[in-house]
Amino acid sequence: MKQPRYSAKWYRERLNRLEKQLNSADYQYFDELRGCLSFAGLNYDETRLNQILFGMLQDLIDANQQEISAVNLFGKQPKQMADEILITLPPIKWFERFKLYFLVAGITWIIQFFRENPVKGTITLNLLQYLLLAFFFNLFVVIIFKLIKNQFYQPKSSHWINIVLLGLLFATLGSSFYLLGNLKFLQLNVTLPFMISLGLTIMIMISLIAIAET
Amino acid sequence: MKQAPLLKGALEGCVLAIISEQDFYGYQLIQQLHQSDLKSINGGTLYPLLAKLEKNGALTSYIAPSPDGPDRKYFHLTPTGFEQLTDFKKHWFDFSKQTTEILRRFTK
Repeated sequence: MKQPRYSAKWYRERLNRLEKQLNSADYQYFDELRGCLSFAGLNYDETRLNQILFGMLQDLIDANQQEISAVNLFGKQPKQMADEILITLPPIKWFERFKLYFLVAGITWIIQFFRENPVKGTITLNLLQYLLLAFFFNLFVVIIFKLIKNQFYQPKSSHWINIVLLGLLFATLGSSFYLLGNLKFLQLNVTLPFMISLGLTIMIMISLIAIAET
Repeated sequence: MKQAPLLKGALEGCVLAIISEQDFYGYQLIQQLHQSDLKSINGGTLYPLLAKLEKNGALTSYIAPSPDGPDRKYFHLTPTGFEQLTDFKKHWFDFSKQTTEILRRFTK
C-alpha cells in the first residue's frame, strides 16, 4: 500500500497530541527519547525521524491498553535504541540544511543591520562582517544543539563533555566578537541608498518568516 | 550461553518471515515474537531493526486507522524484502544443518 507523504509538521502535531495520552512516567520516558533524537537530528531528515517516533508512540499507546509501560516495551537502554535509530536515518537534504543555515544567518543579519544603521540617508554594509556573523552564529547553534543532546541520558558523573562543549561555545562567541570588532582592515564596505537596503532587509525578513512557517 | 548473540543475526530473518504472512504494526510484531518464545525481544531491539529494514527497502510502512485505538503504522514486505527472506532461509537452513551435524558428531 502506498503511503501518503506526510510532512514533518504533520507528524510533529500528532506526536504532540498523542503524547498527552501517556501517563507521567511514560510521558517522561518518551519525551526524553524524542528530545534526544530530535536534538541529534539537525543533520538528519526530520520527516523520517518523526515518522519513526510516531509509529513508536502509537505502539506505546496500544501497549498501555494492556498495562505495558514504556520501559517494558522499549527496554531499559533508550540511549542505545536512539543511537541505533539515528544510524538508519537519511541525512538532511541540502536544501533543508541551507534553509536552517539561512534562518540563523538571516536573524543575525537583521539584528546587525538595525544595530549599525539608524535611519539616515545611506547605509554601509560590511559584507565580511556579515559573512562572519552568519558563520559563527551557525557554529554557535550547532554547538548548542550538541550540548542539549548530550544532556539526555547523561550520567551525572560524566558531565565533562558538556564542560568542553561549553568552553567551545564561549570560545566561539568570543572569537566572533573579536573578529567583528577588530578586523577592520578586511572590511569590504558597500554603500547603498537607504531605501534599497531597507527593501533588502524586508525581503530577508519575509524569507525568514516563510522558512520558519515551513 | 545466552540467547541474545545467536538471536541477533537471526532476528532480521524472523521479522521478515512474520511480515511476509501479513502486514503488522510494531507492537503486534513484538507480540508475535513473544508468542514464538522470543521473550527477550523488546522495542529497543525491534524498532532500530524495523528502521534499518525500511531504509534498505525490505519494508515499507503505512498508517491505517484502527477500530480500537489510535491509528497504527503497519509494515509491509516489499519484493526486495521477499528476496532477502528467500536468501536468509536458504542460508539459515544450510547453516542450521551444518551446525546440527557438527554438534551430533562431536557431542554426545
